[in-house]
Amino acid sequence: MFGKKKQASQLTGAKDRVAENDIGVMDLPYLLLTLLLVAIGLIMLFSASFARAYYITGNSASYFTSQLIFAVAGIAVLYGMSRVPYDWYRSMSKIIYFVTVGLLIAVKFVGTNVNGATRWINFGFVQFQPSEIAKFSLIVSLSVIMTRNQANIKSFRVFATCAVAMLLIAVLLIIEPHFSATIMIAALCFCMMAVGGTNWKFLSIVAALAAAALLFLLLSGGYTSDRISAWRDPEADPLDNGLQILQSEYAIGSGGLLGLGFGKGRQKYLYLPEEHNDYIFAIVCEELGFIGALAILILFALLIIRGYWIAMHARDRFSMLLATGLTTLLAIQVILNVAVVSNLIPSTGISLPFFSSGGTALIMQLAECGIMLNISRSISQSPK
Amino acid sequence: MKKNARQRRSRSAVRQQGVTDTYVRKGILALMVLLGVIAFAVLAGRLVKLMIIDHDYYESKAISNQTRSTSVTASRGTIYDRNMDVLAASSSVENIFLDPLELEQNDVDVDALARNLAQILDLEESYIKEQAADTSMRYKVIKRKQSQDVCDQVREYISENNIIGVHLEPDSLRYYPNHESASQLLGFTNTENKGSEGLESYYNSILEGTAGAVITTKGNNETEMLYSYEKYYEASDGDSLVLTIDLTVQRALEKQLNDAIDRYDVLNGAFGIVMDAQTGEIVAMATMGNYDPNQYLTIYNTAVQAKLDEQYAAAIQLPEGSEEREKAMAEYNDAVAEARLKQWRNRCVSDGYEPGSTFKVITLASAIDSGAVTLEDTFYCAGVEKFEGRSQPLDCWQHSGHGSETTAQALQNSCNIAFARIGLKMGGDTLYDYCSAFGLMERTGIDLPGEASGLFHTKERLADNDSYGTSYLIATSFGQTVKPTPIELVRAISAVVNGGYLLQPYVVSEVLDADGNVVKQNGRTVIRQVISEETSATMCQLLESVVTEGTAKNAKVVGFRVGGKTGTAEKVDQVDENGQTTNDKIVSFVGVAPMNDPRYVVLVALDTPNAATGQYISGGMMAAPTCAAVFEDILPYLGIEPEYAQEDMSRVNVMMPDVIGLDEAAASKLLAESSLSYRLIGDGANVVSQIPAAGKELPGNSVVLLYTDSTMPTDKVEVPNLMGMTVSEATQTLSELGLYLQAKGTDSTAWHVVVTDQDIEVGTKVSRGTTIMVIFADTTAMD
Repeated sequence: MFGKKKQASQLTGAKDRVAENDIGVMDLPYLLLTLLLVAIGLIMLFSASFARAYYITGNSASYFTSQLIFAVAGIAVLYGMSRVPYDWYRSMSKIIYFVTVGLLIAVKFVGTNVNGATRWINFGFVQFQPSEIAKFSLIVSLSVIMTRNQANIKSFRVFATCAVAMLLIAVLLIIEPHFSATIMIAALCFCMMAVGGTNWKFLSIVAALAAAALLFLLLSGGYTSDRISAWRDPEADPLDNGLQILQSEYAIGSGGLLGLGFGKGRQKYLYLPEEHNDYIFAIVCEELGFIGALAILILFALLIIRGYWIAMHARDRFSMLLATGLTTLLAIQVILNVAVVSNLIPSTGISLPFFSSGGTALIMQLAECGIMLNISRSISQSPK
Repeated sequence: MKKNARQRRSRSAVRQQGVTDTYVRKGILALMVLLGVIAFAVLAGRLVKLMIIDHDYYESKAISNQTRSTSVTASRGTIYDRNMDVLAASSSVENIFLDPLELEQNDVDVDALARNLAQILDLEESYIKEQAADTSMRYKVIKRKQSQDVCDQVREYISENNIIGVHLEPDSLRYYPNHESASQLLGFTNTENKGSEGLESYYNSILEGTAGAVITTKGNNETEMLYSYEKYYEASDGDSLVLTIDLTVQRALEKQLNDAIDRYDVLNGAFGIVMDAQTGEIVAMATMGNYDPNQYLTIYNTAVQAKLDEQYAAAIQLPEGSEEREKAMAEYNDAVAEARLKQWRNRCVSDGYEPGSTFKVITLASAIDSGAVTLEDTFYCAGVEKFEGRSQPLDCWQHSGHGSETTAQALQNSCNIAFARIGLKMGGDTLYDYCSAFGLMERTGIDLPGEASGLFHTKERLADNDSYGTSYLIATSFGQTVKPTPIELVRAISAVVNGGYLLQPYVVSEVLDADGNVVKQNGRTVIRQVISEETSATMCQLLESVVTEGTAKNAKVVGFRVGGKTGTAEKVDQVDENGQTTNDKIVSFVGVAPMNDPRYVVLVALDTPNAATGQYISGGMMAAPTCAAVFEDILPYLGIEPEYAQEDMSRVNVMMPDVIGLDEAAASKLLAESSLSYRLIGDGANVVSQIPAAGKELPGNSVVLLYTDSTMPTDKVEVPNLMGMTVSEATQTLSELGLYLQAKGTDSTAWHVVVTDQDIEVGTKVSRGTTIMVIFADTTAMD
């Protein structure tokens, strides 16, 4: 399956050997799964958000309309990105990285403070989280570092380079503070380094340290330990710490096998906080039931599997790692979101890709899918 | 060179330090399995747990989380008398309440609010402010049970001024259109609309119905849901009661009891029962001092209220916060509660009383039915007698003695010595068994709350004369030392006269649902036959003879055959503040009518006529005429046809015809039709004026004055004092003044029958031809 010729060409670090006019074809399953999830996500967002939208703005479609505009724009971006050769990121990786660092520093000074955390930069017409950029920028940077140093990938120096690239961003995220994003990039980098060939000795030590740090963080500080107790027994504090998770469980549990029917959910009537955002999957469960929720999970799983399939079939080490990183990022987001909403793990603010309300996050997500599709194009190209 | 060396090093490192694409692909495959399959399987498993396994738990939690329940009040059933006159009914009203927290949150001007609401609701401004100040509360009722127009004013005010925090809630108001009438029997409903006391309490579950509810899903913050779940549990209105009570009879009984209380200065109230002896229906039941169930907390006895006011005034004189004051206030509150309980109490079923000689009816019926005594037996009363087994000699109420008496005369005279002998002859065993069969030791089971069972001796006390002597048996024989409840006694007497059947007394004849369909019907229920029909017939004759010949002559009602028995009893268990037995008496009368077919049994009891007034206190003097007045009022109403003898006509009112312009022959014929005679004055051909005027009522057999000239006097005359006059004296005195006499009470013309009351006061100026109502009583009718 994996031709020796291809392998050899990558090892020599050779660039495109395709004709200038042959940009290849996008991976149709990946594209279709993406568009399907975007469509379902939009429809569910409308259902989940209309009660709150009406309560707050008087217009029940207000969240939906803005999300729709971003989705249309996002699909255009997706197509555009699918035509940008992925090698461009390799050449831009340093710039991307330092712009990201700059933004993360800038957010501390010009960012909007929401609930004690400064995560958003507001450009007036649009606002976005630099942490979204940071995840992408780390994926690119690690892919570049590990591709460039693939010959001595198991050395400590390469490991340290990757770790420093990650830690700089992690520290900047922690001081925002943005705990969930920190955990995500840590997990993401760990997966990428493991795939990329980093010595398992180093990774084991990091894993042990991370586990210890996580445990320490969870056990110290009221902010997090409240979350732990709410996770273990949400009914103990049903009006405060346990409220969100309890209302989420009510929504999911009352869905049953077939659900209350699309649009007929009740928990969205201001009972469940963040129902159009991080907790939209609870409304999906309530309205579409176990069957509907499972179908959506399967679509996500298929998209992730297809993403890894693209990564495995990518033409060179860089695109393999890039695709792995992007797919892992998507997988971690989906898995953590559903795990939080169903109270499998303590709550942390992670949105559900394609579903949660949030324009820039959706555009970012579709842009990343566009990059995946660009990588898939190279697979179809016949090597010369 | 250097570069080459480094390249070489790195090339060699590829082998040692690099990884192949296959290695990377394997890693990706591992991630694919871990994040694309295993992680999702775990998530799916979690969803199975929440959505399938624990579905019911979360669904019920979610529903209770999302639903709001609003109760729908059921309207309480109506209470009707037997002619469907309303005795108690409910109407819709509203309570006005404040939400102080809401008022504060919306910055409502409480001063202006208090000023306006105080005006609309007739409240103190300061009171409203006080209620609004308690912002920890969300529900402060400021006025309950307000009518529609008052509530509309409140609504108008709050909507015009956009006030948030004043609310109205529906409630229902129970009203009793007849006020004091039958108040203890009906009872009342408390502020929670639950029946308290009387029929309202006994039949509460039937009357109140079932409150309904609307259960709807509501969004948080009371937002409406697009797809809401709604369930409506209909309220079912309460059923209505149709009573056996006849409001007209009830009012007549209450009026006569009230009149008797005034006339005889009765200190401790009165009570009475009218029972249908054939069916067990209670036609009227009254306890005086009653109260108005519309304002059941108000003490209606003015003397008691005055005493309470005094007690309160004394209590607030004490220094504030002191222990004495608190104690005095507590005592005052206890006294108020006690006074209320007393006025709410239905003595007819809740308390025993001393029946006195009325009990002799039971003794005699038992003796005759058991064969111990026959009508042919004779007894001798010397006024005082020593009985074996009783240490004290027994005095008869008539100290001179009754001499030799037949059984009938013993009852007519109410002779204690004869009844002691009857009791001894029959024996305690038999008397006890009969009393037991007459239901005197058990509750009657009447459908009223708080029924007591009377006090009665044990069988051993009456029967075992060796151990207990004979005094219990002797006392019981003439009705002392026992205390049945009024309802027990009335039921027993009914059994004596109705052929011997002990019946189940009842107050509710029908239960109607909200649409007026009969859902339950009560009727005549025979518990057992106590005496034979033959004995019962004999007892009826004897009871009638007590009225015609005996101590109950004052109970005679002209036109009707009435029987009955008087009773005067010392309240032996009443002690005064010195621990001495008081001389308080309870006088009573049980009447039966009509005697040809006994239908109604009436008990009238007057508790403690004031001895200080100097009147002779006895059932014959006081209770018998009261009972007669009741019969006179109710028997014609109840459809019992009167039969008047010619001499009775003077007791019957007729209407004066218009004879002006007629000649003597025509006038005479017209007057004769009305049982009136006339005296012609003047020598004209035709009548030009008449006394009394046409249309006036006057007793039959009266002589009217017809003037054929203009000599008719038009001046007024003073009403004379008739007290103490005999019938002929009174008639003579009045006719001299051109006044007419309407006689009430006994119709005996014997010398000892005299006027005891007249309806128009002495000295009042009245027109000639006016009828004066006069009550005659037999002053020898004692006991």
